[in-house]
Amino acid sequence: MLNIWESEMFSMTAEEIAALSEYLGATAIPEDFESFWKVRMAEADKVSLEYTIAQTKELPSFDTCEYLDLWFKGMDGGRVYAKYIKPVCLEPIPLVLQFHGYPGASRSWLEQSSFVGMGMAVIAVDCPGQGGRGHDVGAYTGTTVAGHIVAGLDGKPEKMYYVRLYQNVRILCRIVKQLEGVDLERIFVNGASQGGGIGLACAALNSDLIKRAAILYPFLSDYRMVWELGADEVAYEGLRYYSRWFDPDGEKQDMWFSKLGYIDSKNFAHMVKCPVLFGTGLEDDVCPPQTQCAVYNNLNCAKKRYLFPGFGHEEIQDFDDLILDFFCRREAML
Amino acid sequence: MTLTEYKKKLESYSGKGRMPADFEDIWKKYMTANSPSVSVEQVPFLNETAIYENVCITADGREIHARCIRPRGDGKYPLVLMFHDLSRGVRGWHHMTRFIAQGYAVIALNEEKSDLDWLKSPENIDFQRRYAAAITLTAVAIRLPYVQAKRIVTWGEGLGAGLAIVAAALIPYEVKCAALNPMPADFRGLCKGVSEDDLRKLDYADVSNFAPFILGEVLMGVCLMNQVAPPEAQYAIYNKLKCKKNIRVYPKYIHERVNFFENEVLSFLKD
Repeated sequence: MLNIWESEMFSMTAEEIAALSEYLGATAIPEDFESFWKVRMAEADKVSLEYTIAQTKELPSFDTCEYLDLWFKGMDGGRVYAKYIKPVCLEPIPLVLQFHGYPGASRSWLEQSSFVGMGMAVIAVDCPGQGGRGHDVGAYTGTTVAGHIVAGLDGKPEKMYYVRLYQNVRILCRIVKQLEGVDLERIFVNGASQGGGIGLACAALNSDLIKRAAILYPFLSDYRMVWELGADEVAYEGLRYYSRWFDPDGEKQDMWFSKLGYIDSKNFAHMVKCPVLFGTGLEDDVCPPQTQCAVYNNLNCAKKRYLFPGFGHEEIQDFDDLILDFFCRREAML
Repeated sequence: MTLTEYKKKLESYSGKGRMPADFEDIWKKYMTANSPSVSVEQVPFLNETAIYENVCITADGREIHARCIRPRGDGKYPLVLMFHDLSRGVRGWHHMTRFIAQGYAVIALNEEKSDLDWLKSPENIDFQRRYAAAITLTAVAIRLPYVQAKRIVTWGEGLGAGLAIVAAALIPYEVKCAALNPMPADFRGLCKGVSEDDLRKLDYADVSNFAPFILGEVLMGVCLMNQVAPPEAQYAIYNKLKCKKNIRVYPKYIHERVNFFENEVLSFLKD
C-alpha cells in the first residue's frame, strides 16, 4: 500500500538532505521562464506610481519611530496595503521587506518592530485577498476555491494570483527606491513559508535592489513533488482540490504543473544574486524538506543553510536570531 | 449557553479562590530580600542600537536566569518586564528586540518549560518556585541603574501573563501590566479532585489573589475559546482588579498569540 499519509514521510535527517544535494525539483523550469517574467516586470513598470504614506490610526505616535500606513495602486487598479515603520534617524538606514505566511496578513505592529529595534525600517505588505487589507481585483478564469496557488490556473499563466502579486511587489520595490532616508545598498527581504517564497521571487525579480535575503522554509515550491508526497494539504490544499475536482484522473497534470512552474520558488532561485540565509526544519510536514532542497540547490548565489532537527513548520527562534547579525552587519556575510 | 450568555456570566464571576491571611507577607519577602548577587554576560550581537545580555541572579541558594536587551547609551530607559508561558521557553532575542523600537529596555525571565496541565494536576507544578523567581527578578530589574523605575510595564501570555500580574502586584507603586490569557487562577472552581490540603497551598498561587494589589493600570486580553487558561480563571482575575483596567475579548480565539492584542499592547506602551 502506498503509505504516503504518514507524517514521517516528510521528516528527514541531515544525511538525507545531504544526499539530495543534486536534486533540482520534480518538474523542469518553463523554457520561457525568464522572458515571461521580463514581460511581467515591464508591465508592472508601466503602472504609474500612486501611493500614500500616513501615520496609522491604529496607534498613537511615538518619539522613537513612526508607524505608518502605506497604500499603493497595484496591477489592474488593485489597492495594496503595507505596514511601514521607520526609526527616527538622521543617517540613511537599511530597509526590510517583510512577507507573511499563507494565508493571513502581516503580523502585528509590535512584531514588525523588531527590525526597527535593529535600526532598520520595515515594510510588511498584506498579500491582497488573504486575510489582511488591500483589495485584489479578482476576475480569475476558473476556480479560486480554497487556495491562491490554483487561482487563475485555468487561464493564461500571466493572470494567476501569484503573478499579479509579484508584479505588485515590483511596484512596491519601485516605491522603495523613492523613499527618503533609506540606504538603497541595504534593502533586505525576510519571510517564512509563503513569505519565504515571495521573498525569493522578490529578490530574483528585483536583483538590482535586494541585497540580502533571509528565507525560512519557503512555500510555493516544487509543486509536483508536494503532490507526489501527499503533502498537498494545509497550505498546499489547493493542489489536492484541483487534482480531485478538475483533473481527477491526472490527464491534464503536465499542463497544470508546467503552468505552476511560472510561480515556483525553485524556478526563481537561479535568478537570485544576493546572499541568502536559508533555514529548514527537518520535521516540516507543510513544506516538505525535499521541496525546500529544490529551492536551495537552485540558488547560485552566496548561500548558507541551517537545518533544525526536531522543528516542523513553526517558529524557529534560533533562525530568527541569526537574522540579527545577518542584517546588522555592515557588509553582507554568511 | 450562547457565547453572549457565557460572556455575560463571566462578567460577574470572581472565582472561588480564598485569600490566605498571610498572603501578602509570604510574597512580599521576595521583593525585600537581602540584595541578591547579579552577574551579567554580554551576548555579542552586531546590532548597533542595543546591548544584549544574559543575566544571572543568585538568591536563596538558587540561580535565576533572564535575558536583557537595552538601548545602547548611558540614559535611563522605561522597562518591559516580560514572562513566558508554561509550555514554552523564553522568547528569542530577535523577538525581544521589538521593544527597543519604542525606546524600552526589556528583561525576560528564562525558566524551564513544562508540559504539565495545571487544570488536571496543579499540585505537581512548583508555582511557588516560579513566582519567587519572577518576583526576585522584578525586585532586581526595577533597581537596575539604566531603568526608569517609575516606567515599568509587565507583560506576558498564559502563565507569563499570570506572572506579569504577580510582578505588577508586588511593585509598591503605579505600573502598567499587559496580560493575554492569564493563568493560573480559581483552582477551587476549575480543578477537580484536588485535596483541600493542596487547594489551601494553591490559594497562594491563585493569580486572582494578586489582582487587588496592583497599583496603576492593567490591559487584559481574554480568548473565549481558551481551554488552557479558561475564561473563568481570567475573569476571576480581571474582576478582582481594583485599579484602572481595560479588557479586550476575542470570542473565536484559543490559547494563542493575538496580533490585534499585540497592537493594543503597543499602544499601551506609549506613556
